[in-house]
Amino acid sequence: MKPRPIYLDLFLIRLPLPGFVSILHRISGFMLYLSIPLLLYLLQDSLSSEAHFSEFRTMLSSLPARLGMIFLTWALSHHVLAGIRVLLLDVDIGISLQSARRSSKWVLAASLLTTLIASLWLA
Amino acid sequence: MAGVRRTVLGAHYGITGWLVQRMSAVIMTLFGVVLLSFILFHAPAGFAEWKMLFSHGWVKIGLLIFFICLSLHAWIGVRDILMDYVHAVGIRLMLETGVLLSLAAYVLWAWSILWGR
Amino acid sequence: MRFSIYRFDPDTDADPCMKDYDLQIEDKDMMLLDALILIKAQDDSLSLRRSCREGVCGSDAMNINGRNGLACITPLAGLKEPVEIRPLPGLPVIRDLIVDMAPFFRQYHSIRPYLVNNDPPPETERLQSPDERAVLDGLYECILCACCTTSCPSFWWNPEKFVGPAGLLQAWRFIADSRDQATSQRLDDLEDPFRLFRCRSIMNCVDACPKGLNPTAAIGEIKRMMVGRKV
Repeated sequence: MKPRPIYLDLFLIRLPLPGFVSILHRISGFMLYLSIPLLLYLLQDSLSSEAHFSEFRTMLSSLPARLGMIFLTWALSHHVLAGIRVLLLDVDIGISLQSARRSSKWVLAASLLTTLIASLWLA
Repeated sequence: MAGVRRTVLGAHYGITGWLVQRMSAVIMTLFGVVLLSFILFHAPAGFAEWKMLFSHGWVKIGLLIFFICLSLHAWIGVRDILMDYVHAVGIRLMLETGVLLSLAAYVLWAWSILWGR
Repeated sequence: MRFSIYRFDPDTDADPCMKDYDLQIEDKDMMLLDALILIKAQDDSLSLRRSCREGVCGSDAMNINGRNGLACITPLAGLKEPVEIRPLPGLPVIRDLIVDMAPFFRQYHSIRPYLVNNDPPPETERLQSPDERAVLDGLYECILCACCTTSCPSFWWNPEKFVGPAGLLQAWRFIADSRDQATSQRLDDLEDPFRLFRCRSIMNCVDACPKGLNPTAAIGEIKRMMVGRKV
């Protein structure tokens, strides 16, 4: 007998805002994990010598590096802010549907704002 | 035996990882805020100040603890991702081992950066 | 009003498809179930489950314009057209809007949804104070419609291993019940990286529940109880 079909079209199934924040939390976390070796390498390089330190600063002002930094800044801010939201949910704060929707909006807004501020500061 | 297909559960663990993920998150956030404030306050102008920053005992120990917490936190997070999406046990085991090794390597690398010559 | 409905006949169709229907809606207060029954008058082959028509049996749970809900208490007014009706996500489709609820009920049964009390039964009922009874509010009202569980991505990826929001809410219902004596066995049974800990507070379940229940809150209580006995 042919297996029964399962309806699971992710493009059609509506994702509520808290769910959106949640999947971004996972994606940002995974991106941060992948970036650990890069960050360790940059740290090591920047501490190794004066020459490397200046090279490091020049490299940071290149366009790809800047875009990378902005993306990682967003990933870090979203992950931390969404993480704080999860910690609060774990102790029953913001657990109702209304407050969960509200806190999701705050997390999205605050992480974009933090990214903007950090990007301007880094520029 | 081929043909024995059972969904077996009852491994009886899970709360420790859940707790470790939370505790490490709190520790990293607190230390991160402290370190970030310190860096912003004493913004290192050049190489000498940057290197000086990493000579403080509390920075070195704090950062090492930070990286240990990061590894524990990342382990639970990535393991959860693998458990959700990778259903073949053999492949999942290989990937989990790879992740564990990578995180162990990162901690040792961080240690060598902080205390190396 | 235009409706686009998921159709699949295992005897004749290789794959599911969407079929369009048009209805003349006179009564603005109609519910979606009324419309589906009118559509069935046009096309008798359309299959769906329904029973109480008042939102208490949970039979007509389906995916309406992307969100899970009960057809009998979903007003037509305010539904974007064409109204897209699909079966509950993640469960095998038997035919049209009828899904195989067996995986859902297997998980429900696995949490032992009955009171375990080995004391000799009293003359009257096992008594509870009003406060003890109040703890069950927000838990006993579950109609097992599966809107929550089939909206949960963690359940989609591991339906045979993750108990899901409805099962876990009922698990808490029995853990929290002052008359139940099997608390530590229930917690032992649930503490498993798949059975309970696939839940990461996505909260799609709370959004989907047509009775306004909160499985995430219940699961949080279970997790906190597990911490309490571990640390």
